[in-house]
Amino acid sequence: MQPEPRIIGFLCHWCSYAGADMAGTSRMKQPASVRIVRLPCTGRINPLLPLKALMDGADGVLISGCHPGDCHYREGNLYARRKLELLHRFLPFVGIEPKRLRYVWVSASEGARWQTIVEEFTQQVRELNQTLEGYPSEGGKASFSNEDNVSSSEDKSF
Amino acid sequence: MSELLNELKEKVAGVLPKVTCFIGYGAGFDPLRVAPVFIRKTEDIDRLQWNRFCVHNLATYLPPHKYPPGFLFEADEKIGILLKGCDSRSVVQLLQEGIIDRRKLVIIGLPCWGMIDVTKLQGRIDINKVNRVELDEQTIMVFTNQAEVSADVSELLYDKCKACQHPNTLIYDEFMGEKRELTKDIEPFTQVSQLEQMGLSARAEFWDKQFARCIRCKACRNVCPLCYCQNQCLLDTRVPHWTKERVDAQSNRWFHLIRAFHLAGRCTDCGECARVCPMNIPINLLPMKMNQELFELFNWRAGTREGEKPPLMSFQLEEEKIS
Repeated sequence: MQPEPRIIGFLCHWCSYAGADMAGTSRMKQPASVRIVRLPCTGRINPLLPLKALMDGADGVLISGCHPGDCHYREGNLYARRKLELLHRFLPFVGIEPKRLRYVWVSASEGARWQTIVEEFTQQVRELNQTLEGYPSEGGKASFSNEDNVSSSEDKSF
Repeated sequence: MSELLNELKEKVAGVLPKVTCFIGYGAGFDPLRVAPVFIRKTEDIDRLQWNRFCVHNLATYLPPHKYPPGFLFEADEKIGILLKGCDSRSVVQLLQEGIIDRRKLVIIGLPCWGMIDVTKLQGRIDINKVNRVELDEQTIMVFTNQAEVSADVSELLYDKCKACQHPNTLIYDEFMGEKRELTKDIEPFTQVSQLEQMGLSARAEFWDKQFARCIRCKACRNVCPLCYCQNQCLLDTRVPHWTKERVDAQSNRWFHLIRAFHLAGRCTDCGECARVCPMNIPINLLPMKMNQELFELFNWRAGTREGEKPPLMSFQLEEEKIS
């Protein structure tokens, strides 16, 4: 059986983190695939953070912040939008599937929206994993390879 | 070419009293190469050269943070410099970032018809044993003791020169010669588009092969005019430990991706990183891809418009091209 994908979520403390929390407290069922890293603002996200996650073995990266215009720090997410769009467009050039990265805007009250986004994105990454097309860790065979990933995941239940 | 050199010498003689040092090109170790020269005395002006081999980006000597204090210049020195069109973009970018002071700089500008990549002669002649070169506008004749070869100059130009967008120096105090007009529209990012015709996995494989060869000499970083974080370079720090010291495909890829992201929207496509690479890795393509995307998204071309705010340091509430 295909193991559940490992997704790293970078979430803004002021909205999306609370939104994800709300999805949890409202008992909305969602895949347990996202490991959340809480950040003060999406503007804090250095594009190297999601890139590092992808290269070190994450199957996907989900970034979520306040809706444009609603940033707690007024403009952090607007800078982030430009940086993340650039990262998203750059990824295929070095052979990483851009569909493994997604950035969205989720507010604190949008628990239901968070649930659908996690479901959709997990499904998308699951499908990508079946083909392993543009698998981010494919390159550095030294520290990580596909075969290792699949077999080790089969040995230990995820 | 020789008239331009004479004019250059006159100009430098005029500039030298105002500055403590003038940076230009001088003779290299053989007729196919030139090397940067630092002229501090009038009698050294005759060491200056100007020909089709002056490819070095001299702007790399300008950022004061790049070298230990007093290594090249004292902090208060006024410097003169010879800049081609592409090199002047680096200077504009450095000015935009507030790294250098325009008042402490005297720039001599000129038109450039493209520089000859001597490595493209490799295979036709032993380029390390050349003892004489004859050069005119269209053809180049290269002689060794055993052989001679003639070639068309336009074929031997650097790839960046074939896609040249800025043949004339953009900012200058004095300009020599007549400005060169570009006769036809050239797509500036052809090298990137060529690579993009590959599939995703093929491209990953391409880069893995390239990065596996990297020996991490950091020549690309050291030659780059915009890599000036002397003591704070992320690639040298261990806290936080972003890169491993180990040289393997994975850590090399990470090394080059960090560089690409630190140059995003700042790289002026001078191509020096690829030129100095001892393993001939086309690393200039990574920042060039960034430049292509930034040009499409924000109509941004680094170092061409003085006083404009870089796109990654600004935003719009409603972005035109980002949904």
